[in-house]
Amino acid sequence: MVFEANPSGTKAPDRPSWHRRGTLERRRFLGLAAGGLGAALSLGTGRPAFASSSAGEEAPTAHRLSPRVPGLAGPAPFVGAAELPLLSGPDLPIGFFWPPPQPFTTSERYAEIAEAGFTWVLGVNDIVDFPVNDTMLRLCEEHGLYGVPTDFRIYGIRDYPRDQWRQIFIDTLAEYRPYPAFAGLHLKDEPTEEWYPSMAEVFRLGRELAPDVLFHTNAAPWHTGDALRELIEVLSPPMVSFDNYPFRRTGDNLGFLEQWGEVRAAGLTYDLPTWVYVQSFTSTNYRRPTPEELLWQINVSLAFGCKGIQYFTYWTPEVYAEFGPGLITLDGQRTDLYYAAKDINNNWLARVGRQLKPLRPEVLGIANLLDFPPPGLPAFAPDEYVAESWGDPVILSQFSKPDEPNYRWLLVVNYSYKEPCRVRVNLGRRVRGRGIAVFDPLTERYVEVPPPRKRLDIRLDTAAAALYRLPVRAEKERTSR
Amino acid sequence: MTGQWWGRVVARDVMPTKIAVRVSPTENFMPRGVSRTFEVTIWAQGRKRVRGTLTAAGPDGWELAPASQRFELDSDGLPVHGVYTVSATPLADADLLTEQTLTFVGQTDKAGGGGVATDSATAGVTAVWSAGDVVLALDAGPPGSPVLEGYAVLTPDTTWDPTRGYGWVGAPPQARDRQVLDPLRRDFVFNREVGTLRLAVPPGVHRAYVLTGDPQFTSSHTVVYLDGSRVAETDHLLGPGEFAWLTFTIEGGDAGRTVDLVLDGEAHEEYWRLGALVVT
Repeated sequence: MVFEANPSGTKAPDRPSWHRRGTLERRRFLGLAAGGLGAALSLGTGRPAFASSSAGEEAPTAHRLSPRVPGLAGPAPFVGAAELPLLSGPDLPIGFFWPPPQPFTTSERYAEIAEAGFTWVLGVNDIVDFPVNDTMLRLCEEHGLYGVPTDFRIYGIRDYPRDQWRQIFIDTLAEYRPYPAFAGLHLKDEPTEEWYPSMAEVFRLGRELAPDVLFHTNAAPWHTGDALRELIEVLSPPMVSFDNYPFRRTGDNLGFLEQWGEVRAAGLTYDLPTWVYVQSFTSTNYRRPTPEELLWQINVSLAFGCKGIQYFTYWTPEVYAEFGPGLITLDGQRTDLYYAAKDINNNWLARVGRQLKPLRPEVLGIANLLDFPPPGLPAFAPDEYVAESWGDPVILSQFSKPDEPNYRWLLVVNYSYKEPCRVRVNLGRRVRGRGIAVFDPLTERYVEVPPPRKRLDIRLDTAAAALYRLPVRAEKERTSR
Repeated sequence: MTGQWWGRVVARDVMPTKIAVRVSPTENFMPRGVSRTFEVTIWAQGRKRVRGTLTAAGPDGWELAPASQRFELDSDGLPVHGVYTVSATPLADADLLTEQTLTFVGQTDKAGGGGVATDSATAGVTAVWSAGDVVLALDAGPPGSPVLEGYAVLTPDTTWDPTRGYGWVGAPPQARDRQVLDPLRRDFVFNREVGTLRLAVPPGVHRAYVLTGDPQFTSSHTVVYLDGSRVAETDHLLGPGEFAWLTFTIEGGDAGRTVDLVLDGEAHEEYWRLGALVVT
């Protein structure tokens, strides 16, 4: 997994590899105070006294809104992604579907989650409703994670009389607000149209009454075209999340890329961040991905402009007999994919994610592919920033940042999840010759690329990626010359 | 002026030309004497125009035309492609029922930094009998599905007709068209109940060949009974896309006769499958 960006073509011995990094101290990154609940909480024994934990301390993260006012009445201004938990803040959210089941909902298991670089926990399976949501949220807080539980009063709000929905919403939210780790509520995964009316109202109530709470839903593989537009326009979710898994037993599924293309376009059209589930499971129809294929899904998603990575699954679902191991087996054993995810999350994704999260996706294309581009991924076209590329197939994705108009970012992703790649990128006329830098995940700094100027000779390991920061001439400056 | 480029020294900023060759279809059952067109797509990326030669080669008994042709693609630094056709024909002496390989090689005249760029693609081909060379050649499937050149159609609606000389007696089978692979293998008739296919066999000793298998699903054992005897069967469950020819002898006697082939399915889902029948 050698990451190298060396124009001389010689291997830099001190260049860090994303997988060789040590584990990050999550508390430091999240700014959480030491302490917590300590030992595992027993389940089903009633709600532990919340005041006994460190939750009584002021919510420590920079992007958590405070104070929260339970049952806030009256209209509230729309709160966009810039202020919602997980969507806001510097860290790219890293989550998963299928948390440890109740017998494993312990401090040790949540420490294991945090050690693997995850930033939040979604409540599904038997981790729904009180009292287990209390335990889940306390464990999240203890380990510096956010929690997005499922509460069947909100999930199943359509089963109540319509005139009660508002009060149910207020009462339910009031119970969750005291938890520092509470980031939002999970609504419905892959909703069909009959769910839309109640979900749309929950999203609307959220914008009105709980503008600092994230409500989570996820589009299905069939949410393409008009179905995707309808989901966005009817529900008005705060982000577009979807799943479409690529590694089937019958062959690799290009629908992953095709739907990414649609979701990316929708995200840009509706100005919404885009999230994705990556495949970390096996089943009757899906083969087990390799660690490289896990990394490929993540890096390709980043190229599409992804602002939130979710794994499907973390624990192994036991309710569906056809599922094989996720990151953790049914009996709690770590699999190779757990270690791969831990490595990727801590040493690459979290670090590059902080760079990419504030950036706006601009131009995306696949270069050097001697075949028809897959649906959703256009062929690379030269522009003022990237003039030319040759070598092995790579995805070239450009980003911008409105408050830093003198820079452009270029993410180069190895299109292959089977072999390393080598590629040359000749930069365009708007890129300055001096100051071109590559992101070093070890130090989380940009390191200037040595001459020759305006040329990048890049070696990437299988499925790996490199992020470049390109100093560019402003439009006025360029045209005045 | 030179620079280090991927471990070897080349002229600086010379884009190495590279090509990729793809062929479609990648496999085919073809009757002897019948030509089929293979589409060869050449992808190229180079600094400017990429020129080269596409050559096609096959085993003895196969004719490919043209065996060599020129290609020319205006790359200008980006991947471009061109489609070229090659006609392949199994001749009368082409080996029967043996999968063989057609090879298509693209090679540029030159590539950046010296040398040439080359790539190749292969197609698996299998020669089968020409309908004109055998007593009977049937391609089974639902009505309207593609039929191999020269072969007669056998559908569930093909009931026994002495004039025609073949057809079902008793309950007709079902049929499927999987819409993949060649006309012979993509479709078939099948059933869980036994099927009886009556044939008018001319005088003499004949060899019969039954094609069985399914492009998409695992096939149960197909068993053939003739004159009350079990004469042929698959020896293992055929996986998706796996096919087998079951062969046995039919005695036509001095004056010819009608015979009933009884098809039965065993093991797995107990469906028998018939994709083609040839009697030589």
